[in-house]
Amino acid sequence: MSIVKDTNQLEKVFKTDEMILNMGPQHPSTHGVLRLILNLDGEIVRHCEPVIGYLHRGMEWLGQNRTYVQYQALVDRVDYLAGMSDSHAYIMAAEKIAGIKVPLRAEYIRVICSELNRIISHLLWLGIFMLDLGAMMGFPFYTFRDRETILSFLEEVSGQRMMFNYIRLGGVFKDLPKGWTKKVKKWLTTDFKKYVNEYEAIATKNPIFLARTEQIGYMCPDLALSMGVTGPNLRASGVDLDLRKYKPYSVYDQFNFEVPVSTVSDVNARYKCRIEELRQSASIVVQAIDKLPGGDTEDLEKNRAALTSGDNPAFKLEDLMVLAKGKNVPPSFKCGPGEVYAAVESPRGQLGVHLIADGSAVPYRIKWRSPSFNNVAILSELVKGYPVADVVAIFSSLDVILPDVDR
Amino acid sequence: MAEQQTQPPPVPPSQTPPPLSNGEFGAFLKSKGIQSTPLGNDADSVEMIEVETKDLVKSCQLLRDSAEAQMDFLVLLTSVELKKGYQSVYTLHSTKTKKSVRVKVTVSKENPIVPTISHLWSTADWYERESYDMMGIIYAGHPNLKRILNPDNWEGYPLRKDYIPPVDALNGPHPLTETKLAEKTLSKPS
Repeated sequence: MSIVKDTNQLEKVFKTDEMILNMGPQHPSTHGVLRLILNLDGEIVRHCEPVIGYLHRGMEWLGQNRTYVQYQALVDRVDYLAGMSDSHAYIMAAEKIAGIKVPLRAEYIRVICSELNRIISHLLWLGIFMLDLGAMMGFPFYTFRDRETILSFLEEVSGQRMMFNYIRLGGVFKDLPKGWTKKVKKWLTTDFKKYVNEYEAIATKNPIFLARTEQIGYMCPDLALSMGVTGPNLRASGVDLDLRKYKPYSVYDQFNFEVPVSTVSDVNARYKCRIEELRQSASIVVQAIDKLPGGDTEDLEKNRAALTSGDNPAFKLEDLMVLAKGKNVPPSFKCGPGEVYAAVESPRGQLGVHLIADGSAVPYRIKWRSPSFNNVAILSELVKGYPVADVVAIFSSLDVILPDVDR
Repeated sequence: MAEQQTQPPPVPPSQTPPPLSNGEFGAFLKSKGIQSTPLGNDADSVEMIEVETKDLVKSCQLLRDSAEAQMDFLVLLTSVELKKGYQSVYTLHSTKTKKSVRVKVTVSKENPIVPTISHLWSTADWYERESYDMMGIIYAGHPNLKRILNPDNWEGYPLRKDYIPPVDALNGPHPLTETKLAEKTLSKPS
């Protein structure tokens, strides 16, 4: 038996085959039901093919068989962790075609609720991300504790904890409860600030955390843009694309906030961007509460008196009513004809609705641009060359919600 | 002794043409020899144009690579059913010039074949698969055109207006045991 010296020769003698490993769909770290077909060379991933569709509910078909008003209640289910953003995108699209002017107070309330929802989503992501990395020490309980607090805030406003159905055509469901803004502001400026620092104290410089997250899952900015990746994933790759700053919708141009951008573009960078977004979202909510037209609870009679007595506030009376014209939109609300693409910055990226209306009470075509769909598509590029254990960390860092992928 | 500093060469005036503004994309394509039908603006004042099927790839390539347009971001690919046929709608956006344009291409219902643009924007890969899955538009040249959201041998295309959903999805015949009716009725891309 001769000793093989040439390494190329060695590979021919000891030929290894790639192994195909099926991961999911019932896998605890796939955030729902995602199936990955991994081609493994030893432990290294050579090829990855995501298989999606296990949570397909036909949201587009459902929308095209319901009236605009009926569909309002369903859209929260597209991305169940960011129901406010879903509603906001759909309602904005319908309002743009119908030409409905939304009261200023309702726009502010929409922003407050959307940003609170962003904090909820990021907190859940943070807990699950640490769990996926193996932090079984109870880190998720800290984030879930704070998530519970915000969920009860939003429950007071909308009556629901996840499927809010709060943002409606022409405004919002109803006004904020009495004393709500003071409570939220107090919690965000004191407790929440402390809690975010606590998360950072536990995780950010933890050597085990750094060993699991640094220098893996690099995302090339050009590829990410070509793949349509948006949100914190894209911003962690150095592309400053946040619709709240880039093309401000609603009243986002009224607030001072930073968009965290990192050029490191690995898993750790995505973590840092989201942690910073927690702080920025809290800052936006506090600013919006300070600027909220009409104050804590709108007292229309008092404001009317203030308008007529010459003590003129900066806004008009019609800016105050939370619903346009002060009444609900009837179920036979007709829209169009017209076509629009309206997008909001959801916690996961650019969430848009392409709505084609033909003038009837039923949408002719609704197409959802869900950010997770693109974020899953880039996964096969990100995991190439990393071990299987890193697939979980990389996938978790993308913050994908499978109902949002499958719609 | 003061060193003689070399003067930097004068900067040539920038040769890059000014970016196209809204409403000029149709004229821009025409100047490159591509006929397009203007469809006006949408409710968000984004220009919409319709091009011929044979010009789709060329016009997308122009919009992506030319210095005037620089559409580096395919925001969305929508499939729409109209009376005259199926439509594939591309919403393009430029992160450099912050402009958007919507390109539409219509194909007949008998022969719904659209050339793929997945080599221009990688995101079109999955979008075209979804459009094929839901509306039955066939993207010629696509590297991996198969169903993405529905099971592989689902019958029919759910977002078509003449689609009849299964009577009882839970207790009816299992979709995996059915024949591929859709494959028979549609002609395959040549």
